[in-house]
Amino acid sequence: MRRWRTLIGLLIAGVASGCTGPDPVKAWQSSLEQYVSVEGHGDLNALRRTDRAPSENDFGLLGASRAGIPFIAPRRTDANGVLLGHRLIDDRNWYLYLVGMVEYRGSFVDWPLDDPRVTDIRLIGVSGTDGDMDWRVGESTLVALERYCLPQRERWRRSDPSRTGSDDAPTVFPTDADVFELTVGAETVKVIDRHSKAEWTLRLTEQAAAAD
Amino acid sequence: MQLTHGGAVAAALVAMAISGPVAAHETDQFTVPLGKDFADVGPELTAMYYDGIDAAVTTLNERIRRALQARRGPGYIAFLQDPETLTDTVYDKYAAAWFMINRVEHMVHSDRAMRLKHPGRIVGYWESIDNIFTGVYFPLDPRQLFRIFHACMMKAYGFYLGPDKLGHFTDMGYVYYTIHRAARARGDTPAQAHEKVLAEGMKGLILGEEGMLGYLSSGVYSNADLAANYAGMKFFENLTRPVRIKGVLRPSMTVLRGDFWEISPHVRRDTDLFAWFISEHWNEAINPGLFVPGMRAGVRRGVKSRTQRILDFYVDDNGNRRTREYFDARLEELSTWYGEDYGHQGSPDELITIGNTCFEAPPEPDTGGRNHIGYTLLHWGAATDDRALVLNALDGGAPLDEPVRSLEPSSSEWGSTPLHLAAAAGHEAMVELLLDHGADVSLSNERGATALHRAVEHAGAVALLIRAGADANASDERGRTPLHWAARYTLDDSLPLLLANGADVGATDHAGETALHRAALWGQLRVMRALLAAGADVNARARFETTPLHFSVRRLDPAPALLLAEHGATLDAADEFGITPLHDAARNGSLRLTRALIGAGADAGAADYYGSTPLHVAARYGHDAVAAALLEEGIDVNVPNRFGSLPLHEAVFASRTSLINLLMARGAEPTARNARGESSIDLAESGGHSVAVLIMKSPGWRQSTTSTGVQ
Repeated sequence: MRRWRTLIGLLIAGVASGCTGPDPVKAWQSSLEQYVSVEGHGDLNALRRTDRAPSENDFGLLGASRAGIPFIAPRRTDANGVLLGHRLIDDRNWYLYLVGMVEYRGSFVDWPLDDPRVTDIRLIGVSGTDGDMDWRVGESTLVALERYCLPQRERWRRSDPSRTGSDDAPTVFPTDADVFELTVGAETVKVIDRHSKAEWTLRLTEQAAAAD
Repeated sequence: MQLTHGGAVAAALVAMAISGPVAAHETDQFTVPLGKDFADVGPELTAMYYDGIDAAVTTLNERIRRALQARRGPGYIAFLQDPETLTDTVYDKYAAAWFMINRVEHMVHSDRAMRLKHPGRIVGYWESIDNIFTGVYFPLDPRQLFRIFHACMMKAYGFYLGPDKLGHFTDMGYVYYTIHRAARARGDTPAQAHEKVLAEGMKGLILGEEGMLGYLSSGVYSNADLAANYAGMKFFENLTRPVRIKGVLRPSMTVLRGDFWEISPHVRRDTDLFAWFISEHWNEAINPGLFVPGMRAGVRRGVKSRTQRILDFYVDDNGNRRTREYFDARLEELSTWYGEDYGHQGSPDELITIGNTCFEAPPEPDTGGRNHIGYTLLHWGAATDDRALVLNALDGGAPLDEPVRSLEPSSSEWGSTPLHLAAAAGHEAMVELLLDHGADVSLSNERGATALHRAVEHAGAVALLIRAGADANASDERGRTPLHWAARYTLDDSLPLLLANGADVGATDHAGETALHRAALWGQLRVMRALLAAGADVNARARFETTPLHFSVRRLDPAPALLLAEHGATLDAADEFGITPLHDAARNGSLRLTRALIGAGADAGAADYYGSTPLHVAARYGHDAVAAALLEEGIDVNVPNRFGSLPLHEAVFASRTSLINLLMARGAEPTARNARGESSIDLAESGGHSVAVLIMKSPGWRQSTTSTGVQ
């Protein structure tokens, strides 16, 4: 009997720990730091990768977070970063990324790839010159997230007349239709997606970030 | 083929018992991921096969040197200098098939370093439980167990394959080579030797696809495996003699010069050596195998249920689903190895192909009905060039410009009209028919592509659409015009047609790319020439301030870069990160490109915004030959970047002894400290790199190298 209780306890603990995953943004940041350290030996220009067209630079982390119940109802979140630009602001060079968290849900498979949903999009800046990275992470904005996903939901609804609502629409980040426009102010950086009109803001200078 | 079931079962059990926990036996390339790019591990495979050749040449030369010193008999020395000895020695340097497969499987599936190197990319894809073999065997069939030994899928030089193909390439390739060699030695004609080779691969009880390596173990006669065997034979043949590969006569990879073996100059670690041998033949979905009859219905169900994934995975370079004609044509083309018989079996009716499984006619006679990918009869008729079907549908009142709609989670074909589908397939008569009935040429699908975008591979359709008033400058959702799309292909007809009909050669997409950027990316020389002749800006800046020259250096072939240089490209154009094309060539390790850019006048000492020169970059990524070429320009080896690192720091980090030697010989300063206060010697010591420490601390090193040359 005791053995059964222990087994059930372990099972519950396992399931419970599998229900929540680590913060995908932090995991993405950590992965980028590792990449710069290992691939670039500390040089941030390693982030300007050469495995795609030079105008399409990205930095992603597959499985930035894994949650749910393994094998039964697993969830995986990928953090997909799109490089927006490299700007000199306040005497520092900043790599600016828009990072979308895309969650996949599935069942009975280890790597569910169907049914993606964008759960968060953040504007993130990273700077560094001596191997130590300085980060600025923008806030999660529901309005921008909803606005970004809207055209995808509408396209999905249009794809068949029987689809009336769009709540079930899969959404991804990034998409081919994205047109990200970067505007740099004295203290802030703003990004607008010309296609969906979604916008994100990030304060970069020490004072501005502290004021937040 | 007659199979004795009992024999098959016994043999399968024996094989499983002796093979142990093999990770990879067959690859399912119908079960594919969506929405993620694969890392291309081609350079890693080239390095692996090059290292085998290099090690064999070193081993043999050492034995020859010793034999000469010991004044061994001429017979022994002739043996060491025999091409067959070299080939056998190279083979010995590679791991046996099972270990080779497991090594590559580990590299692409579970190696953390590989995942870190390719962030956001799939390195090896593997569905743990579900694959097309699920539920297709008789429940008590022991071949069930092979289902769990499935290899993951990976990508090399643009082709998708499973690691099991490398076992076939190496081990079976060598078996083929030795059979051929023995047959020829016995006086067989080349045709007879070829027949014997194929007989082993096809019918051999242990090594044949009709034996343990195919039907008996997994129930499939794999044409893709046979193609890998055959390519492997070409590899071993090409080690010591010129061989025609993919229609090109490739010079021998090694030569005997004087008493010693040398690797030919065109064979280097930084070339695309492995790309000469790999091909789409190795893809189990595009070049499918022949399943035993009892499995076919189950496999077909599995493939059909994956239709959306398959069609959206094997898309063209502009992101469009392929047509059935495309898959059927590929099947036909891949049934020989560039015109040579490699043992392919199965008629299109027997094989389970993407063409005959993922495309299904819509329900009849209801003209409003749609098939699983959203086609009505009118779409189907337009896509398959069925004139009678189209006319019937139109007579029945089917809307001429009806868009494709489906219940799939996503589709690149949503919104396409019958005209899009006819244009994409190049069915000129059908395009004409639809236009005659008033099809709207201005309509775009959900990706923003018009029929003219879809037609770019077919000049006849382009001409018809332009004549009907199609806009040559219509832009898709990425802002790309038909000219951008056409830049992917070597088109002798449709490109001039577009240019002559008002296509704007300077049009930019949302990333600021012109058609010239795209053509440079794909290395399409003829397209580039046509665009440049039409006035394309050779220094146009795209996102991140990148020029066509930055795009061209993504390829190892220097020809596109040289063409741009001839037309006035700014060789030292720095992008938003201060990176010049030479930095990129150095990062990719392309010696030919590096030499070409330097020869054209590029600044070998240019620094990016973080102060790194191409030499820093070459050292960081361990590209010795490129570093040597840069050093020939007389650049200063002791220029620090903004992190205080010298190229020597980078070489120590990369653990490249030969590079450290090279830099030390050119006066690199091992005690110079970076921003963290670490010297190169400190780094080598803390990294446990004792040889590097020895080289850098060795007094008199520079003097010895200046008198004897760089080692």
